[in-house]
Amino acid sequence: MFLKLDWGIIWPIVNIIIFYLLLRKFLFGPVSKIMEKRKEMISSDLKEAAKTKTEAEGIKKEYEQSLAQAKDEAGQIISDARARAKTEYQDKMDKAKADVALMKENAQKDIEAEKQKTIAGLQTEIAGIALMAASKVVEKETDNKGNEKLLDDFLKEAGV
Amino acid sequence: MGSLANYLMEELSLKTSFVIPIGPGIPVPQSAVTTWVIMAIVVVLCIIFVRNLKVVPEGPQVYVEALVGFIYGFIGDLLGEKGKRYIPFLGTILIYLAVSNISGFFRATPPTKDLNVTAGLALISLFLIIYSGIHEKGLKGYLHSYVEPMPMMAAINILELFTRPLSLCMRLFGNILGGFVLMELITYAAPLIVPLPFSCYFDFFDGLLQAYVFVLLTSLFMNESIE
Repeated sequence: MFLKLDWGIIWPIVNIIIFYLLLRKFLFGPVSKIMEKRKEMISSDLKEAAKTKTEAEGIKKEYEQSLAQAKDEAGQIISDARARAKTEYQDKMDKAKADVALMKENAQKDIEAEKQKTIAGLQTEIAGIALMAASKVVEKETDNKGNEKLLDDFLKEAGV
Repeated sequence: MGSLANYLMEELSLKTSFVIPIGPGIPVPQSAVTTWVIMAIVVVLCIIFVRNLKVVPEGPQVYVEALVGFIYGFIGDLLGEKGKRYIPFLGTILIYLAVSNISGFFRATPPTKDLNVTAGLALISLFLIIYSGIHEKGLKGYLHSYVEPMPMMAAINILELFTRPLSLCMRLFGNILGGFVLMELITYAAPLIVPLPFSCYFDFFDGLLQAYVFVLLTSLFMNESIE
């Protein structure tokens, strides 16, 4: 008969337990292990990614800060250089002006001295010539009273 | 007509495959032999496909993982966090029932046509229901759950202890036996092509449905005794 319930009930129970042990070893164990491993890997990867992101953000902040600092420094250096150049230029200009003025003064002095010298030279020369001329006149008519007076006057006029 | 009845009775009768000659002789029913064949096929398939598992799945591993994932999701949802440890066992029952119910499609006699098999499964399920309750609440707590929500319910709760496995056992047995009988009749009347769509329905659809229902109900009952 097909409706038979007897000690044969043991068979499926034993079979299922053996089947369970086999499947646990060959199917559920390894598959759930690998799934667990994947889950762990994904979560650790995500954690790692978040960590890297915060790190990158920190580095970016630092970089931006240093960049701003560098910019400031560069501006400072440029303005410093500009100011220094300006003062240097001013100094040079002043010095040059002073030099030029000095040189001008010296030149003027030189010119003046030369002028004086020339004048003095000319005066002595003129006096000589005059003396020569006078002597020539005197040689001829020394005893001439009028001539003598003329000579004196001339010399007076000449300022010798 | 007599020949059909004889043929049917012949097909329906539970055969003993062989007798282990120990003591008075231990008879091995056909259902046990079919079960062994099913077990061997499933285990061999598992060994073939569950090799070299990689963290990044490829090829058949995707399908194996989808199957295991389905079992874990389906039973895990029913059992909750506390019942996670029973998932592989219930998954084994699910796989076993699914494969044995389908085996009728391949002209094998489904083991679930044997009342002893479904009764054995129902006993396992009863054991699981009681064990999971005791494991979760302790013996005292579990026994106390029989007089909840009020002592009057104790009679019904105890009655459930018998009706649940009985219904599990008989539902599965009746469905598979009915399908088997119908299939035999159809095959007898029109042995060519005609049985194919019917077999698809009775063996695949009904078979898988019954496997699903068996595990679903067992999980529900277990969840009830765990909570």
